[in-house]
Amino acid sequence: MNAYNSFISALASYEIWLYLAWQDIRLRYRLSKIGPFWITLSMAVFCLSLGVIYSEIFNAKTEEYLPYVSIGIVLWNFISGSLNEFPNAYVDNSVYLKEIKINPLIILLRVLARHAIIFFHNFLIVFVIYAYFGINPGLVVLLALPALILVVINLFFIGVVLSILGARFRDISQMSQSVVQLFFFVTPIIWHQRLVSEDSLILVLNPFSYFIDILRSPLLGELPKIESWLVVITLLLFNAIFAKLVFQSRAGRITFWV
Amino acid sequence: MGLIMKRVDLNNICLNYPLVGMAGRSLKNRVLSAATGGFITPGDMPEVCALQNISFSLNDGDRLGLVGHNGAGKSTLLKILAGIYQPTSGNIVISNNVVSTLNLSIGIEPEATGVENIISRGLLLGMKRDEINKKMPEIIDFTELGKFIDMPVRIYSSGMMTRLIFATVSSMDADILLMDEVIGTGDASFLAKASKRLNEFIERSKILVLASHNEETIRNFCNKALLLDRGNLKYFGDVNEVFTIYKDFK
Repeated sequence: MNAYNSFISALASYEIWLYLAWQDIRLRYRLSKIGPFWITLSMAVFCLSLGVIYSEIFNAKTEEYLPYVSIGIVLWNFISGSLNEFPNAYVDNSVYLKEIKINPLIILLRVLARHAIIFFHNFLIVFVIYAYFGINPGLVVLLALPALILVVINLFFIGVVLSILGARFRDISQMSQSVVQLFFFVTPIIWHQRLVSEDSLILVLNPFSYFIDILRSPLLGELPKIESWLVVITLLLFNAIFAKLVFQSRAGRITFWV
Repeated sequence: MGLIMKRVDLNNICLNYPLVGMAGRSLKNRVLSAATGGFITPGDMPEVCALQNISFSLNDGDRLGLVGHNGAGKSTLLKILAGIYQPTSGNIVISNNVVSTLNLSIGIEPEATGVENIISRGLLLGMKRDEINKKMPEIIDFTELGKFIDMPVRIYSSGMMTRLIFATVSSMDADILLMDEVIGTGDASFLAKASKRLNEFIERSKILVLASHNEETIRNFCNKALLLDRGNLKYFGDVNEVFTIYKDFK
């Protein structure tokens, strides 16, 4: 399958994957009063308890630590949620792949769009934090938008590879979940970047520390490191090439594997 | 000028279907196998040859019936025509706008309402949202579901469910229509109305490919037939001829 054409036609079919992604969210919360805002509420409870308890443990100021950890968790939840679901994308949707002609990338985009919708619900927490703590991040916050776009495209290309691998090898899903879990601990999300030296390997070799930096820093009113941007853009190029190669050679086989 | 477009053209199509066993699915076993120099191997992936050297072409107006025993490759051939399977070798040229009604029950979301299921099914079959909205009143009217159309389909009876899907699928405009057995409705009082709609649906298509075990059905709808036996094309052409040959090797 031609990767470029499939990519364009999948984007053009936005009606399908957006509708199905919204439907996934709507149906899950249809019978509840506040609907999808349960996502926001449960996330808020998690961030609040983590922020209060860990600021005690780390002996940090709550007004500094709580915004830091909450924004980090909201961002990480989007990244890890998508990554954890990618390997199962085609297996879970095997009925579609086997019975109708469907561009596999449409299924992938449905998964990504669903996690993006969850993320936007969770993002309300950031506004509540701004209001409560009287934080004004300033104009630098605008940098978060291109950063988000860059991260989403990166996630998509990683998804192309993970979903195909996950369809062929069923243990990819277990492996990647463990790896994602590991990255949660080595990425500065619940602990502050300051706690390790700047050239610490867990920051330098960890791609997610750059993802988090370009997103979280502007949201906290700080300028992200220029290296972070450069690394994320480089990763994007590598992921795109790798995704293209894997898709081109293997996408036609997915139907036989699921 | 000989400008009759071959809308469907298959040339030497072969399809090998890999049987991915549990061992072959594990990356761990693969790595183990490579690390031990193949000493511990998960075994090679066996392949089943589902279709061999299939060549034929269809033009506008052709109604092709696929005939053959269970496992002869009828459904596999339909899936190749639908673009679901990519052939292992050979060329296939097919004009756009293929609609396949291979499996009607897929993609039904039990928690979603009838209307929502019409929309998602329509989108998955390749309709645009505008087109679906335009057809919606007519589809809803045909289903005779009344107020149930706004209720979750999990409360539907199986008859109501078939009506919903049948109405949606048969509202499509297909250049090439693929069917695995004729889509039915099961409901006796509904039957006459449904068969009229089904006939119109088939009439609208330029090419029909229909796989069926029922000789009557094939004779009813088709003007050509193709006989498959264990993945090989035995005969392609006249319907009567095909059934004569088919009866011979029964």
